[in-house]
Amino acid sequence: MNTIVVIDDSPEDYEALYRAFKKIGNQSPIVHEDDPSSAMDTIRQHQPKLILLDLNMPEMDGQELLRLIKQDLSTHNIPVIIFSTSNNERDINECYELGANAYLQKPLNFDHYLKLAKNIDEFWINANIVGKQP
Amino acid sequence: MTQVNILIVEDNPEDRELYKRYLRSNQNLQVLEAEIGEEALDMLDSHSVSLVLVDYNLPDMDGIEIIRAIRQHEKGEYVPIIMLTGLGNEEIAVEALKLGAQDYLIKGKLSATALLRSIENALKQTKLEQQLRDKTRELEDFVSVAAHDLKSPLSTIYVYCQMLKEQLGEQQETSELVQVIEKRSEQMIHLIDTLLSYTRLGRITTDLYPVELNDIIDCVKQNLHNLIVERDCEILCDNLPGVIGEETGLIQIFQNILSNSIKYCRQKPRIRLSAQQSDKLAIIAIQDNGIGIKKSEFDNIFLPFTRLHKGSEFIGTGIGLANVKKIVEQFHGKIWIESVVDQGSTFYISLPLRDTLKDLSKSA
Repeated sequence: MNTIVVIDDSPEDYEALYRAFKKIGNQSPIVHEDDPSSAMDTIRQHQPKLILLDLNMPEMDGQELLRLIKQDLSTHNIPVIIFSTSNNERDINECYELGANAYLQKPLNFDHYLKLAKNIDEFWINANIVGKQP
Repeated sequence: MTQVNILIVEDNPEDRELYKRYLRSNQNLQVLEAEIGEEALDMLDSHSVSLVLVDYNLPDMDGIEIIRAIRQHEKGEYVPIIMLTGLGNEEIAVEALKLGAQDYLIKGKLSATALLRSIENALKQTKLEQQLRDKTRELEDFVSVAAHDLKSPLSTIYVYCQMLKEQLGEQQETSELVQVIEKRSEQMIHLIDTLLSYTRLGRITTDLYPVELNDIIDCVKQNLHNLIVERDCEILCDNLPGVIGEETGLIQIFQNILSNSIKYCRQKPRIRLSAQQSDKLAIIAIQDNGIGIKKSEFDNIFLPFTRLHKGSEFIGTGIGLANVKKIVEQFHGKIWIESVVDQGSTFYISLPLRDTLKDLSKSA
């Protein structure tokens, strides 16, 4: 399954992302995790194809979680896209150094959410077609 | 009073004995000794030094060199320094104070009372300065955290406005109302970003290197291309010299000033950039035909949150020029303005010319 795990403590921000995926007719199951401290369990359980991660969360910040994801042998290959309000060069660099695949700065306008969702969705469709070819 | 370690740096043993005798009258003072500058720097490493009492003329360093070396030392940036000079060496003393020594005493006229009082004052001053630095730091942290926390909900509001607008589609009037909320939240996000970069500026020390100002202006013109075309703006630029700075910062400086010149103008904007060289400085003038600024506001415009105009006529955050001033000062430069209301303003920026790099690194 092409599960996508979204880790974001704000239900409203998750809602925006979810609507974008729904609107473009996405087929992948989306799992929302709002508690970073149980995020690793959720990721191991679902073995998603992609993780969307909010940086600014209480208790455990996104960088710390990113570090855990990239250190764990069962999860380190999963691509991670970071969402963050921070435009601080240091935060951005740190995320890439920890192994983030992309760093998107919030606010993303809704049109960009849609395009992002569409590209991710098409990527999986194409990947599956290629995969199924003999 | 807790124990205070005074490091005496003096090559003359008799002088050292004299200072030690003076210091003995205060039991809290513990004495450490070094004969030459290098030894003193080692002592800073190995001991917790509260204050340095240093002779103006050491076998391996003169008074100015030792102060610079202490200030560059990892543990010596803020340690109080009192310099002991000979009679008639006031010039060295003044130079020492400029470099951050707390006080100077003249050797021949020294008394126990004068020495102890000077030490007490220097310690008190250093303690206050440290408290001030801590408080400033605390305040910057607070602003930074507050700004971050404000940005998060705002970002959500911004995206939701766009979602709402999309759903409303045809219902034009309501959609226009949402557009106002969207636009305002976008402005606020921009304001918070600028505020964050202002607090960040104070902390980051960047390496300075030679930069061609002509390249910077080309880049700024490209960045402002849309605004320049939209306002049919004319920019005349003389050949500008190379300076010591850092690219991103210089772009920020000139982009901010040029975009102000274009924005705060009620006619076709005409901007002229020129440069003069004096001694080791380049003085760059940016002259515009904008709305101008009252003389009473000349200093205020460089303070954060100063807005001279109603938001309805000119849009701005009020932090731009404060950022510019901070960056210019980080580059060891100065910024000032001359202006006549309704005729235009000229911003002047002085920056070290590129050939002065060596001198700078010595005094930094």
